[in-house]
Amino acid sequence: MADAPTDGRTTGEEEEASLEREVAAREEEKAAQERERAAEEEGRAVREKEKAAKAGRWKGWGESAWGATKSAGRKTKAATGAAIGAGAAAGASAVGSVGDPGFVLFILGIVSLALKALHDSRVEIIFGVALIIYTVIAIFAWRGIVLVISFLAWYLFLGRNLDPLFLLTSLLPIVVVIMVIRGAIARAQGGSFRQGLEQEAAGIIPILAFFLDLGALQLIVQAGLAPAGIIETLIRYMPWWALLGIFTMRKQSAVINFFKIGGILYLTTIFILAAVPEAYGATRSAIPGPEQFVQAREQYEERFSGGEHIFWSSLYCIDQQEDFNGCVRQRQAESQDKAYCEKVEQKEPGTEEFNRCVAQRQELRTNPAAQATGVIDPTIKEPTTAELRLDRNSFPLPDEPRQAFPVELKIQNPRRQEITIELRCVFKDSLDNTLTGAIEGQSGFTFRDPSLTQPFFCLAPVEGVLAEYNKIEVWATLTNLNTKSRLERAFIGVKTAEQREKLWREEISRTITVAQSQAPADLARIDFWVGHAQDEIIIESQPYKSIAVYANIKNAGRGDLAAVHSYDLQMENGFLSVQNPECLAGSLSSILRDSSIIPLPKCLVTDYPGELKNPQNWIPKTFIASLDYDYVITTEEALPKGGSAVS
Amino acid sequence: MLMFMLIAGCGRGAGERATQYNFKQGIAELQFRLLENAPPERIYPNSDFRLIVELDNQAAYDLWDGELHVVGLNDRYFLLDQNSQLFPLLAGRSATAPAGEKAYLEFYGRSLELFENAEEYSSIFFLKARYNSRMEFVDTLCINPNLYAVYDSGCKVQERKTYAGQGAPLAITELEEIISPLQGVEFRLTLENQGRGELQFATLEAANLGGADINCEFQNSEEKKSKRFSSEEQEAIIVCRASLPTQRSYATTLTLSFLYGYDVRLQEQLRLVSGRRTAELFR
Repeated sequence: MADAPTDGRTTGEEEEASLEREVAAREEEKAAQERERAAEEEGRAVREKEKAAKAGRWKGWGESAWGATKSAGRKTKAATGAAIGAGAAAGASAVGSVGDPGFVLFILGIVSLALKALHDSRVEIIFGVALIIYTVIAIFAWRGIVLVISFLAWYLFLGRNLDPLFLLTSLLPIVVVIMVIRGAIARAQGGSFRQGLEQEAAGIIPILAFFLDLGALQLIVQAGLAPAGIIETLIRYMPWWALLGIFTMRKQSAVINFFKIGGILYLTTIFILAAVPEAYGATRSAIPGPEQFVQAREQYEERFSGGEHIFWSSLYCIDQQEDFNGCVRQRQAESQDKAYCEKVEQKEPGTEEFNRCVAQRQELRTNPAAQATGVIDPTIKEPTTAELRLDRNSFPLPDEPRQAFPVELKIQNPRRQEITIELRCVFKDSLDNTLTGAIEGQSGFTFRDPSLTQPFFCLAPVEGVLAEYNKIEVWATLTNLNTKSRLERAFIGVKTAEQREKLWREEISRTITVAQSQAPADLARIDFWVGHAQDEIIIESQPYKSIAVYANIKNAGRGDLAAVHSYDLQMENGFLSVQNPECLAGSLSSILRDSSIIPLPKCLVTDYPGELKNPQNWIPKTFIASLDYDYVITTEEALPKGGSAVS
Repeated sequence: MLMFMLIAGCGRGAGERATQYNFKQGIAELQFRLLENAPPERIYPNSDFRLIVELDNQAAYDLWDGELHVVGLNDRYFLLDQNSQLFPLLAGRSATAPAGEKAYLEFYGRSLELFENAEEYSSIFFLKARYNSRMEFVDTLCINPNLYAVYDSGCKVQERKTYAGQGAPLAITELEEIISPLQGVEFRLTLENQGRGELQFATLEAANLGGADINCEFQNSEEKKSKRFSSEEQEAIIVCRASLPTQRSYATTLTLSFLYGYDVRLQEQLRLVSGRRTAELFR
């Protein structure tokens, strides 16, 4: 029990007074907190004021002060909402980024990278043109539009004409006049004439991105320029449009900054870890078309794509102090070979076929004959192709008495060759035991039609036997196929080094733009070169410079070469004299079934026509290589379990 | 555009007659081109075509020993009856022939088959003309041997003069006059190729000062009166020296005459297209 009060108040009154004192104390505490808060806000307001004073925005001070005052009232709620707000802000910035043209370009750049997997030059070129136009309109706000349109017109429609007279008298005056008008318009809009011209120069950036993305650097490498190893590394690992998108994003947000930092780190890493060997010859110049850019890129990718990222190779070789570069090169080469065999040749890792493929790829790197490369002839739009297709959706049901598996053979034969077809099908079990099927329809026939679509059926020979088999394989052997390749060279005779360089720079490089042999995209072809070195277009008549012939047969399709009846590199009879005639013509009695490249005998040229040995100027000549061969295409499908039809 | 057209259309003004016009000025040379439709824009396989070249001498001097070569045509696709032709003397522009002289050279050709089933083959080739011609440089100069005279009622020496050409692709572009009271006068002239082509050689035919021969030589040349040019070096310095007959200033004429050989090139294109493709377009 509490002591009785001594000032005459009752206990109840004391309690009430105590309560009142407590309330007053609480209110005082609250007031003190409010005073503290107000002081804090005032301090913030003062800082805002100073900030606004610096910027000279008195109104802003008033607004920020008012905002500070308002935020003081919401402070208690801010703490609980902070976590939610941060997440919302990040999400909002990501969503907000979508409207940013730079972000859109970034996404389109990634799409462009993905489209390269289609290996369709037309799609790549169309997309590249769309990207360059989008960039100049959306990113650069029409700055540089004249330059870009002039460039596209020159590049796509005017044959990339480099004649100085044409450039000076036709293209340049048009560009200059329109740019003058652009400058005048800029001036009329309150800017300066010079500003208008400078804005137009911005068009160089999307033009550069267009070149780099389409494979200009690959082509420069292929043409024999000597890029630094760092440049070659950039070739393989740089999504140019995406990069341009990152660095032209206008909005600032955490997401965008993340991508920017990521892009810079990526660039820095590649620069630091670049360790590509340099093994290229003299400087050249050539301006081929966009399709050749893409082909060069594809060819380059075929040789060097896939495989381990250079970052991981560098990490793996980090302890190889003595030969770090060599270790990285070796590791890169091995991983590229394995990636090629797995992804392009579709060989299963660990199998004998896979190992053979990897060995062939290694030979490609070391055997000069096997390194003879060729490109698809862009002027031949319709190659000879063949395709077999099993219609899995139409497989018979297991209880059907007639087990007939539908197959379709499609052949494009634009050159109307007389082709003989033989069809075969087998059923295989898990132990690779085979059961030969019967072909219903024409199993063997000859035709010359420009195109053929032939349906037929593969019949199981014994009813009910399919339960034991799990795969159907169909073969079509095409015999008497012929594919020709062409190669252009320039005979200059005896010239001084200065004359040679001048001829190359001013004439030959404009007439002969492709150093490799060219052939239609048929099932197989001969890749070859004639001259002083691979990719060396000029042939001189110097006693110390030998002329060699290197060739190989390339399996360019998805099937296998069944036989090589003959190969012939004679341009005209007796045009080239060699010590080893097998180098120019012959046949192969046996070939490895799944060879992707078959090297042919190589030789040195001992003589050629006198008119080419010392012409007054130079003479272009075309070599034609002809290949007669048989080809096998196959297709296979897994049979549904127990031999039943697809559910 | 309007201003451009007005300026271009103004020309030299009315009333200037060909007889009064000095053709031996500026840079002018042989112009040549393929006539329209010769060859046609598209050539079909196994068909005949012609290359007709128009040669137009716009220089102020005659051309001679001319040759025109067709270079770079691949005989796998195109055959010509001849790869080069000579062209006759072409008179330069003068009062009697203010437009110069034209000539036409014709080459007959035949196209062969395209490679396999190619749709087309485009071939860039070159027309290369080579010729000899002449150029004359004439100017009136002031020679004042008395360098330190306070007053001289004669002419004023211009130590350095520049020129815009003498009506040929080869031009004297600069003249420097160096007077030494004891050694005489020295002229250093810069000879440059200002045309589209390439100068092969230049020979000093004649040089005189005030009607008397003056000794002139090419600098840095094995032969003093002649010089061969490389594609990298297309200019030369000529040094002329004469003694001073008098101590008073006087104006006199310096005349140099050159023979030169010149190469000029034109890039052209032939397009061989598949008749099958064209037929499909018109179907």
